[in-house]
Amino acid sequence: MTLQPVSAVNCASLLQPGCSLLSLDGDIFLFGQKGWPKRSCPTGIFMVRLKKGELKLRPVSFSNDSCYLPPLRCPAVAHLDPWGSDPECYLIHGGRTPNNEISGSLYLLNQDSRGSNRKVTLRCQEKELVGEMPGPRFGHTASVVYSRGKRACVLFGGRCYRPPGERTTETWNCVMDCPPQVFLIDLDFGCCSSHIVPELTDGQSFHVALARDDCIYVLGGHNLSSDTRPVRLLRIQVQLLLGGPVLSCDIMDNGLSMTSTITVKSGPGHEYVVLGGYQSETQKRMECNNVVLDDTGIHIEPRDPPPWTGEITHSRTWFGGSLGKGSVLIGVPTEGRSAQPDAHSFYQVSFQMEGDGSGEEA
Amino acid sequence: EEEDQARKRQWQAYSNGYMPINKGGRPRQHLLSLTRRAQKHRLRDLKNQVKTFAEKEEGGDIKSVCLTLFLLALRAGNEHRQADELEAMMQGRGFGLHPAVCLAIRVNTFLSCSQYHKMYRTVKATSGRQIFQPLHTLRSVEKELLPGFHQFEWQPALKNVSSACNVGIIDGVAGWAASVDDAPVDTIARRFRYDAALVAALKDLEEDIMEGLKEHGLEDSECTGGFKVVVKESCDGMGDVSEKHGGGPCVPEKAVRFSFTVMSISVQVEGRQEAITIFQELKPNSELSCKPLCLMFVDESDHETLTAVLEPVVAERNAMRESRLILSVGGLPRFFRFQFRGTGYDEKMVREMEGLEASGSTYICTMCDSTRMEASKNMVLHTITRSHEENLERYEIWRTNPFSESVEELRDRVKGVSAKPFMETQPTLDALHCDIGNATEFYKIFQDEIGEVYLKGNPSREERRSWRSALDKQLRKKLKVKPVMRMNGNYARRLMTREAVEAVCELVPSEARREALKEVMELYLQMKPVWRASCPAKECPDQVCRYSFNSQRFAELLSTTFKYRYDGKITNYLHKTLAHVPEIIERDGSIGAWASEGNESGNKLFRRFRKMNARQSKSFELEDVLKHHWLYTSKYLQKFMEAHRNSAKALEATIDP
Ligand SMILES: [Zn+2]
Repeated sequence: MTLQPVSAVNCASLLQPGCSLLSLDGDIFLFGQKGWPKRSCPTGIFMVRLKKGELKLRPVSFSNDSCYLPPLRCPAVAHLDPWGSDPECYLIHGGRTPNNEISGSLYLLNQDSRGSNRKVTLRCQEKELVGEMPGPRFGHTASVVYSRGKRACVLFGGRCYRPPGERTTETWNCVMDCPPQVFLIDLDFGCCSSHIVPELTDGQSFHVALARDDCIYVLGGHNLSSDTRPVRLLRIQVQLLLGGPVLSCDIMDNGLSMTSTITVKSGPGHEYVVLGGYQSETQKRMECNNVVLDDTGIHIEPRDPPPWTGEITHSRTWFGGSLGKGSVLIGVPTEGRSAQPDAHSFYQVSFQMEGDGSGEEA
Repeated sequence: EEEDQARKRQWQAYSNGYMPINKGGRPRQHLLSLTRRAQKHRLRDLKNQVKTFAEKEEGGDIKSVCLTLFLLALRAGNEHRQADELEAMMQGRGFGLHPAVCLAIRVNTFLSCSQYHKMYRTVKATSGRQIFQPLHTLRSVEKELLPGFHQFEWQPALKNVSSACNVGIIDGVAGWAASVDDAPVDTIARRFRYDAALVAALKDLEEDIMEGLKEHGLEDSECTGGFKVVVKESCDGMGDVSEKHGGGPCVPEKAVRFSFTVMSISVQVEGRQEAITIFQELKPNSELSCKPLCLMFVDESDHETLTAVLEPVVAERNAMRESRLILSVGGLPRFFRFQFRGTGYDEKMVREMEGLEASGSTYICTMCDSTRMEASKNMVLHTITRSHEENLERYEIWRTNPFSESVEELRDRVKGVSAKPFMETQPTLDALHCDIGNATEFYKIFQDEIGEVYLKGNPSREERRSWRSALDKQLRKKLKVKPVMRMNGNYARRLMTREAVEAVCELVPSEARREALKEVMELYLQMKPVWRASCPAKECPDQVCRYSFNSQRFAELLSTTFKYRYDGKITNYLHKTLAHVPEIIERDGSIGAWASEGNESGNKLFRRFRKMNARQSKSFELEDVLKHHWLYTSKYLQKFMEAHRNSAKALEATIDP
């Protein structure tokens, strides 16, 4: 495992906390740039290229049948494997726009074509939702479950503004936990259903949701009303029966107290490394865990964290995302240069991939 | 002993006028020179009579009877000043200057509370007399002038705005909590609630409103309804404001100020067709009328933070548009409706707020859909078509791409709207930046003409540099202007003169080119007053009439004689100057009055208040600056200040000898 400094070449001001790194067909894309997209990249989506310690962002264009979604901070993002005739794609739900509005839209993002010179065109389409829709939110999770030959998207958690009537201009930016409903979205027709799980009484956000078959494991998270990061671990099982979905939920106490962590796949199966994030409002989470999902359930083991540098250790905040192939990008506010809010230093953490032994990015 | 001294002084003061006549025998001593015991003795009978009277007629209030007697005696002797002082004392205000005068002096001389207090003590110690009011007296005047003092009501209640009236300075981040997971708060912002601020601004204008009503012979009763208030809004980034002290979280050393100006108040009277203007701001572009609403430490291009702070302001403004204010003015409840016009923004801010591409865009105008190419081909004929609503619609088209177009086609369909607008601005031309932008362009023309670019085409960088230095040298010699790194207002004013073009012409070889240069400048100078004047119909009616003709001729010269510069391109400001001025004048009556200079000079005040006045912590200092700046714009205080210019000067001498 290695930790290397990365210098962002003319693009540091585009990366911000709350941005997402997406992986499509082996390429990494940045979504959620700071500010509205500029002329130089009207889509606001960039291909991330990391070579010899230099991070470069390359504008990505959209196909003609695309819509131009706003950059969104802290949306729920889920990767969808190819399914029937549907290609590999990403679901993006909610998030904050650059105007601080909270989105309630669902977008599907996939690769449209790959031209010469590695030039990739993406397709972005808004999926219209009907039924019991999840309201605008951010800091929640989206997962995909497979059951009885069907699949569905599951949304859980998140924060939202106060409901109309309670939101005054003096509390305009106050956020609260969304009620702990579980939303299922049928990906063919956009039909939504809302499910109340009696075991869940509090909302939460900035957790990790890992899915395997018909089960979602929810790890960590923050409850705003009590300002706590409960250690509880949720297992939500979704059976997509013909008569309608059936949900069940188990609450276990062998979870981890953490929020805003980065999850990176570390093996060919459901093997992940969870790192980064926060333990409390004043403490970053410096530990690191292996998380494996299998037929018997979830297994969480501590593992050695990367050799964090002083700058990383001392920063109050950090953010980042998975670069794929066992590699993670981490950004911390640059020390001593308070005048520039967008001044970040970047690092790359690389893990040895289990199974193939080729973790390092060339 | 001190008492004796005081009595002696008093005696000296009064004795000149009140020496009683000696009626023979032992010289009778003056009442004031006696001991207290002797005074008591001499006035014993009178006192008993007064006491009886007071008990019988005035409920035993001897003090009031005596004071009133004294007051009447003073007035009878035409001693009005002393009578005023006595009256002031009777009303519990003490002697000396009216508290509002003291506050006006404090605010206008940029004194902090502690500086004022120090001065107050010094004056007392050195002169023995005190004309200034103690700090706490000023504070109560201050309270009445700041937003949050007066009662008011909205009908219907404002949507999403709390109905509390007593709201003073509030935190601009509006509940945005610092949370490590969510976007961290990296700003400090303080503001007034918009509706409370407007109420305070109207109450500040109470006298003017009443006078205006009287002037038009409007009976109070017939115009309790239908007041319309037109408000100019301005917002501007202040660039670097770093200069001092820490304390508080790390925030960008850049500030943005949002302010407003009450431009006019009119009233609709039953039976009359047109509204009657009862108040008109005579200095619409002065820092004295530009009231601060919101101050924040933020970079103006930090969209996320800017919108987080200004969205609630926008929500308040939108709510007010749907409702009317009931406020007591001149003792009667009256109804006010508000019209907001966001004209005090520079082009950069308009583009930021309306979701348009940056100013280098092909879509060169914030008012029409023209491209740079179209604008250079047709310099004069364009109509204002852009609006906030349309920008919102266009953003939605951009986002959804309903016709499945390529990015170029889509961009052309929405004319460069690629971000969601968040604040409505009024399409207009910002006069100051227009001056600066056009002067920059003229400077380049001068440079090119010195080098005869019209003959040669593509000059090298060295050639350009040499023409530039020749131009700078000539301007320095003939006009005494030093070259500047970036064009500013002062340089622009000096450059756009007949004198400047004469100087430049000395370096231009061809007679024909000299004539053309002089003509464009002459045309420009004929056009300029039209967008600068606060009331062009009165100040420069002829130029207004000739504007279209002049701009036509100007455009003709640019596209013929100066074609080398305007072939397929034109600057944003030249386009606005040539294409949109007459339409705006016809619509608004003025461009200059709606410009942002008041806000820009307000920036200077911000720096000054911050330096001289504020407490040494970033969050407190914004409160202090906001409060102080607000008071600085009070018309009520300005009137007192006007009446006591000399006291202020004397005071300044005391503090700063
Ligand atoms: Zn235009």
